[in-house]
Amino acid sequence: MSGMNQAPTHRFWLPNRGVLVQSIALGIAEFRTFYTLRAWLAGWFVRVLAQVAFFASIGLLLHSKDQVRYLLVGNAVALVCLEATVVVLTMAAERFQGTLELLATSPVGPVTVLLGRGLNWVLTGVVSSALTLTLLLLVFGQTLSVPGLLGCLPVLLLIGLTSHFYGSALGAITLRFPRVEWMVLNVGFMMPMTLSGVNVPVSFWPTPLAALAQVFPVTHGLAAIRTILSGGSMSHALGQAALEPMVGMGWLVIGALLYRRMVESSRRRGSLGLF
Amino acid sequence: MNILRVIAASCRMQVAETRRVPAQMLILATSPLFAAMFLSVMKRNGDPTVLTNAVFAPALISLWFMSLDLGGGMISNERWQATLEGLIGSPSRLGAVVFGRIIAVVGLAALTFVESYVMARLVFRMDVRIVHPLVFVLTLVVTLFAMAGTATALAGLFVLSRNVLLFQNSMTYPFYILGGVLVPVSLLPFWAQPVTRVFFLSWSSDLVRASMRTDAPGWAWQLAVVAVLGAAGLVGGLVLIERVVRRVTATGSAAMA
Repeated sequence: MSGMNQAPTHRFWLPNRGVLVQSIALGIAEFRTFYTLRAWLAGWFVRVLAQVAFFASIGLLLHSKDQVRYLLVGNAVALVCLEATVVVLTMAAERFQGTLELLATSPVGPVTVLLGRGLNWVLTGVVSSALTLTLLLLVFGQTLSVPGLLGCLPVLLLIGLTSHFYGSALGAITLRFPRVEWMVLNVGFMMPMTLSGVNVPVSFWPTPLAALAQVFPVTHGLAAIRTILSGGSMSHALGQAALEPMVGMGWLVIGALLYRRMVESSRRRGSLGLF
Repeated sequence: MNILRVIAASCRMQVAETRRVPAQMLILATSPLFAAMFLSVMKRNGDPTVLTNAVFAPALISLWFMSLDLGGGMISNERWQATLEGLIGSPSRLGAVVFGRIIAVVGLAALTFVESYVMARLVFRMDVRIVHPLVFVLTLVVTLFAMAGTATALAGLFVLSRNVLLFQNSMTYPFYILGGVLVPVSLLPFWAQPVTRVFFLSWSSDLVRASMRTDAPGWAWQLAVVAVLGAAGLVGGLVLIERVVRRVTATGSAAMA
């Protein structure tokens, strides 16, 4: 038991490509047990279309075509964040399934596994965002530039990865408090939806909230996408897009430190298998 | 056992469970964020007449979300917890137990009306005036009843599926649009409008907005429509739950999802 009590810090995060690939494969397998293509299209995709149309229709209420576009683009891009933060649920799932104890004592350590498990949501998030953006721009009679849309794809991927790391950091909380998983997920993705320039510019908010928005996913990537779609300065777009992964790296470090703290705290309490 | 006593006991039981697991009331955390999103857009761009659209939209959204989440998943959750057999074996009717628990859920969810008001008045400094308080209160009461009735029907429907979460996820935003919670259904394409009118929330949303305007014509019959649609949901739900009970009892599948 003394060996168990001394957490193997050097093994807490041993980057291992094989384990990462297996974790991603596990995530995809889990996804496929939940969604068939028909269920995804008729269930999830209809919901995300409706979500973006719901917010875009506020522009109709305001009789402003510009507002329709602003809300449509913001909320379509926010979808990738929404889906990528679903990783929060996989963290608590390890505990519910009784596999967290095994992960905590494995030679590779839990971080590689936990970071790999939800990556499938990043890919589906990019697909949801891109398809929704394209379809609804057409439905709402907005101008559509194919090169512009293609230019958005890498930025969507960056937002997805940043959101994944952000969600992973939030998920660490659920490793310790698994019963709040849905609360953490919902509040987690709604904070960027509120503050990151999705519905109103970041400058609308008081200075402390606008400053907080700078460290959320979506803020910088969305600014880049708005610039790309409006045919604005490429240097501005690239500058904003480059800030997005920097935010993501910050959340990655926070997430890894939080995993370590939460798992070690649970090990000390002997509560790794409890919820 | 008297059916009203069953409903009251189930209601108390649900309140006790929610107190034990406060995370069930996640809408109390998300409703202010919805309010911040809607009110910020309206405040930045809107004229004062459309601002009123945003005030209670978060509360209507929260009510529907709770009906789907806790209400709709109620029987399925009992099944997963392996307590459905015990419930079916008890002398009380399952439909009455479900309805009683759902009343507690929507009753607690009504707290989001207070949150929405506080967000609009204190955070966004809006001049929120409920011009017709009687219409507002009656709308709230009848809407809560209709919500509970509809959630009972959803509980009966969802238990037939193995993937309840998929339905719960899918039925949020499409129904916020059909319910006109933020943008009135009159702004939807004409072909969609008849569909929205079989959903009680479209009438409730109009009534909530009407209670904040100087004119609120025809509110009485609109309230009646909400009550009738809610009652239809409740009756349909109770019949459906009774059928589900008969089926799982006959096939011995109460414990199987």
